[in-house]
Amino acid sequence: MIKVIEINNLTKNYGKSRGIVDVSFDVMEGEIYGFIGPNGAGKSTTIRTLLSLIYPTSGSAKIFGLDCVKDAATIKKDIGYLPSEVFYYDGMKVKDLLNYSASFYNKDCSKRIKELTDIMELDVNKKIDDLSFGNKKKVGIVQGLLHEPKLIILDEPTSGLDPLMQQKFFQLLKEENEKGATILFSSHILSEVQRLCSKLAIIKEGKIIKIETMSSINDNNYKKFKVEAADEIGEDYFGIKGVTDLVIKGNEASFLYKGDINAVMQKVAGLKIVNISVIEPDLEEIFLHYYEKEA
Amino acid sequence: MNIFKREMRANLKSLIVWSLSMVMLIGAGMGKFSSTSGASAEMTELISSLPNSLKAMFGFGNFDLSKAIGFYAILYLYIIVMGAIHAAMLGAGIISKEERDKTTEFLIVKPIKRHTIITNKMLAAFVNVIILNVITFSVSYKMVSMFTLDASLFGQIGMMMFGLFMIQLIFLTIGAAFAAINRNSKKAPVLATSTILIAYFLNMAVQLSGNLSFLKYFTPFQYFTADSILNEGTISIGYVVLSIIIMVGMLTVTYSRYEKRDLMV
Repeated sequence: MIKVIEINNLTKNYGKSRGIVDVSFDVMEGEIYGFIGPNGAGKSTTIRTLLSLIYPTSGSAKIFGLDCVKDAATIKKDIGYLPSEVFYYDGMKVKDLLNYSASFYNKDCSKRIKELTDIMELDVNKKIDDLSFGNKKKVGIVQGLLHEPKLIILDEPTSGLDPLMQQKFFQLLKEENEKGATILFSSHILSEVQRLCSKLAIIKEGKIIKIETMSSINDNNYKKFKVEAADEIGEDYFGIKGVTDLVIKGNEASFLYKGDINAVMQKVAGLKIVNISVIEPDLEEIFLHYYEKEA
Repeated sequence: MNIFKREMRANLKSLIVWSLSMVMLIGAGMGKFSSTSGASAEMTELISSLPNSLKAMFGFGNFDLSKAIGFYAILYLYIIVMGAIHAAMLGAGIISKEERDKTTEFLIVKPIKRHTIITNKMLAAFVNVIILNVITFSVSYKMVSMFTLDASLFGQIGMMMFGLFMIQLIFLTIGAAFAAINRNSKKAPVLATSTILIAYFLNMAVQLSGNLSFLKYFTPFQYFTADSILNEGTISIGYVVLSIIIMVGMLTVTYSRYEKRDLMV
């Protein structure tokens, strides 16, 4: 598999304030790669370094095998980028901005612009200043994708989009991905990442704390148990290896479990069960778990 | 070229306003000449009797105010100050506005080198400066020639406009350099216009005091004065070279700083 993004020990200091420290991860061709962390964790700093808006203090990053700093202009021919907040030039109409954006690429983008504006239900004759935040975001999506990039970098892309438009946007991303585009999707909304991505890196306070495939997170990680027994459950009844976040209240117990499922089922079988639920935890809970563990 | 075209379009309104202001300045100034031309001998006498400090403050040199070109020479200081302000604001604004308006992210992610961005922007600014200069030249010549048919007039005004052009380019590149150095996009226009103010006061100080004549190298307003152009009939090659050195220095700073620094989003 070809590495589309290759980040090696990337560090960026902003004087005294923290940027990112020793960030390393690779994104393979055709992947939809999630990049998650809370606000201020360093997601945008990493992305802006990849796009050479800012320069690394140390370490390096390559895109399509080329250096992000030295070969920035060449790399960007095949990158589409959507920032979290979009800002455009005053007094421009949507079509003027899209044509201006297209003029930087040596290809005819008019057909794709038409397709994308139709999908996004965007009125190209409106002035950008008159658009709502959500509609400006749609302009951002179109201008990020109009040149059919091989790598799409999205920094918190869904803010401002209504759920229906989000659905369309995700569909669009999936189609781009099926056509061969690689996607780096940064977000703090974990359900988005869970829905779309095949692999993810978790960043906290400027450092990568976990890189895992989505399937291994979903399959091998924690299951959430809620057990209601007929009798009171002893304080250490579920005190077996693999159980965390154990809360026992009278005849009810809840906990997260990781490990051989038979071991915990034997314990459960030892009780007279009134009700039981085993839930796959959502990414939010896994995420918080990582955070607490790494803190 | 697309950035160049966009900048030309974006600066069009401002160029029209500046051009109209320049036309009004010259028109109103020369209008004063037509209304006072009958009393110009007394006027010259009155002005020559003013203390040097006042003459320096208002830009009255040793000009013959009975002639239109002498009267225009007084206006010249205001014309170059206005040209300098336009150029400095333009130079600072054209570089810093992408960061000020947060459009940097849009521009920098395009497949274009940073130095190409600067070249396109500086080229657009250069054309704007030329247009303002040509308009100033045309209006100046038209207005002054209404009162006199002196054959040397075209050459005299031409030299003054060359001086204006040099000053415009000096302040254009100073403005651009401030914008390239400063990470705070709002500071550049303020710093650029402050430089003009300092240069203007230095110009006055040089005129007021003979002891401070060494300061003339530090204020471009002393490089191409109407006094030297009209009374000596030449432009100093030394000052042209100094002007070019300043421009090249400022452009070097602009390119190298913009190339190397982090851009604010």
